[in-house]
Amino acid sequence: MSIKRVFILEDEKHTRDLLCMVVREHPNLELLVATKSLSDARKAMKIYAKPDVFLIDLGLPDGSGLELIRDIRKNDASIAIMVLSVFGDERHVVDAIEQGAGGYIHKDEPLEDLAQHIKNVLSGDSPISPSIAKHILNRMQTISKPTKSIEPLRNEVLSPLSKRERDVLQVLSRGFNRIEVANHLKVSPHTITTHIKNIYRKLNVHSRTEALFEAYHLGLIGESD
Amino acid sequence: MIKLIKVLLIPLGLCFLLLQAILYIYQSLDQPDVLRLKEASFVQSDAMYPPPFLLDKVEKRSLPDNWLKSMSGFGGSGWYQIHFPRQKQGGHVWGLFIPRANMNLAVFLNGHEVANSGHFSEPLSRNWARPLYYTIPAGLLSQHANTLHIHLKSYADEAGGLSQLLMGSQDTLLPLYQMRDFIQIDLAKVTFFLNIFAGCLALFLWNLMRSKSMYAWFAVICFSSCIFILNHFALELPISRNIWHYSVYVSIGWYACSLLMFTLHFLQRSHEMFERSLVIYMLISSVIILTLQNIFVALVWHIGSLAMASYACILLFRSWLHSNESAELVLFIGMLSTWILGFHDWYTRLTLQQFSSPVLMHLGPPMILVAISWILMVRFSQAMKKTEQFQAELIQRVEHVTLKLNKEHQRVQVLLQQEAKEGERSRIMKDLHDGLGSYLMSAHSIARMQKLDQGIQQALNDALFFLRTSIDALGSEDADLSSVLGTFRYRIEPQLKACAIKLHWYMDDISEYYLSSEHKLHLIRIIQEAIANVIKHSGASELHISTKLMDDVISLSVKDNGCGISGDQSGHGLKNMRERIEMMGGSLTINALPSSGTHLLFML
Repeated sequence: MSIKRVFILEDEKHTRDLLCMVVREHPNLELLVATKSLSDARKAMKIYAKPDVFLIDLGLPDGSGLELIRDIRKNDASIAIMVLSVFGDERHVVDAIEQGAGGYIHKDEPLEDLAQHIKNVLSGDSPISPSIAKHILNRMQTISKPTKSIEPLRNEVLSPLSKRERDVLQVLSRGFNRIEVANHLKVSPHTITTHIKNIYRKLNVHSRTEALFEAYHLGLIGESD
Repeated sequence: MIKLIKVLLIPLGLCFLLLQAILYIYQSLDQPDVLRLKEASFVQSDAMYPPPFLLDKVEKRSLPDNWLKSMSGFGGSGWYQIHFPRQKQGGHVWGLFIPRANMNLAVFLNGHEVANSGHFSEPLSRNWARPLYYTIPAGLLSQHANTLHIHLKSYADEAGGLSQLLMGSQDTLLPLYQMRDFIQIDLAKVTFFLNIFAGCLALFLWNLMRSKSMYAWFAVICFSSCIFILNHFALELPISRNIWHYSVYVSIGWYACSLLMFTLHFLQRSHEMFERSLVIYMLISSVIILTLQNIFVALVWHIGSLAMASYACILLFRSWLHSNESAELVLFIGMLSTWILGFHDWYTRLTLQQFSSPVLMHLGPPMILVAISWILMVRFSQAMKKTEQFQAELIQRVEHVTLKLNKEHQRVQVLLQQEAKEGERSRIMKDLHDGLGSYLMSAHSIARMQKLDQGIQQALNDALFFLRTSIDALGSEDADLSSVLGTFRYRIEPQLKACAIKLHWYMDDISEYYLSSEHKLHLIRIIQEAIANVIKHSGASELHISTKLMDDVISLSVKDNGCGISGDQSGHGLKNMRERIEMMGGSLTINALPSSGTHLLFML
């Protein structure tokens, strides 16, 4: 694996230092820059060359990391973005996935795992914990509330997850790991990984189509009236 | 076989009984000591006193004499002369019994007027179905030969007639007359008033229940029969004779029609179209009969009436054969008797035998009345019973629903309290997470950064782990049991990996199983404790944790392949777990053998 350049945005000093240390000490990772606010990060993005991976904290003193994720995704669909999360913060993690984040890191995890997670995301893998799986399921359920006239269309557009993908999330939320999920659903672990990747992608696409759809829906009402 | 007996026995038996009754009425007049006067001389005359019976004008007549037969429909006035010898049984009071005469008559014995049956000026007194009886004054009878003169008058366009005359002692004749009078007149009067009453009642019922046309047709049955029954006994009528005459024909038609309609409704086989067209047909033909006033049209109308009544009888009989319901049988019997009696009258009239037979059709309506009343009463009592039953059921259901609502209300109250508690708890947890959590994380980062003592790092790690599991169980209101346990597996896995213990995880979908946050945390702590025991004491390399849901019971099994539990190890940890599971209303079963590991089974 070639050396990957890492961009860090984290306002809390100790965590930032720790992250920098982990990256610096890892043979395959190289610290590009570590910033402590949204404005710093924006400035740094103009100065520095393109990194291979962004590590972005969400709660910042001058805004939300989500904004930066959105900006990055506008210009680059493929660059790896990981959210730095604390435990019990599933809602924000899923928000970030919807904006295009490809993974997340719990700040309090063991150091060696941290590097491993970064490497996994860089190799195209998508992490998913039981609570995140559950959270995505819940979110999809609340979205697909039926609305009379446009119900079929809405379901098609707004409930992007297939039955199989929902099954995968359901079993994942019960604490089964990928291999166990694969056994449970009688498919290969590789298929499960593909499903999860698709779920990530669909969440991202979905967050954009939802906005479009709402506008379209308003337009429809305007026409029929 | 039974069916065949049923088919034959009931209608045939009924016919037999009715014929016997009719025969009895006929034969009652055959008394040995009664003089039956059958031979008479007849002259046409309007005189009010016995006219001279001149040889060239006198005709020989035998009684009963029907003018339709003997004078081809002659109507008007005439005199009968009958000679008879004085009978030997002297000392009795004598009487004259005339079973039938049309329309009005006066009796003269040996030239003296004995009695008359009403006035002779038009409209005539109506005696066509009324038996007549006169006491003969003792002084009028001669010892040798006697001459009886009878002045008979009918309308100019209506044939008259005279039945046989019965003469004898009053002791014999009077009971015969009284019986005939009772059958012909008294019963008719009673029936008339009963029908008026029943008709009004039926109308009243129909007014209450408009959808039940059955009651309306019952009223038509009653009122139409009133007309032809009134015809039997009314001496004088306030309306034109012809109109009345044809109204009677019409009433018989309506009677048969309403019987059929009632039957159809009763059997629930009525068709609106059929009913409507029949009523229209009846109305139109009624008007035609009343306007034309033609006796042949009326006879055709009678055939129609008989046909409708026959159809009703057949329908009822077939339905009864099929369903075996007593109500249908009763109505069938009433209907068939009415049919037989009506046919009797129609037949005797058609064969010009009416002066030798009684009129019986008015005995049909009371039978129908009894049958229908019986049916209505049975139905009414059934409906009452049903209503009571329904009411009882309703009360029971209301009670049941009230109970359920109360329970539901209590449940909602509990849930609301719980929700409030959870909300509060969630708020506290968020506080702990944001405050304590971030401080602990900072401390943890610093410890890791500065590579502090492993003990400190481990302690901070444990503290964080403890806080995380607490928040997992208590902090999120929408986290169900499945995802709380799932998250726990996710958190504990690295520890087990570090200790080289392979975790085999199985869990049913228990997301629908409700457990309060407090109990969720208890469960997490129980598993945590169990795993801590496995790590610390068992030396196991494999750990099986499975959660299953069966019939609303959750079984949580923690099983290792370690050294089992020996003596003093079991102390505190197990006691703790047992206390927790019992607090949740569950139980713990321990199966530990030194060689084959430990198996803890929690049932909830």
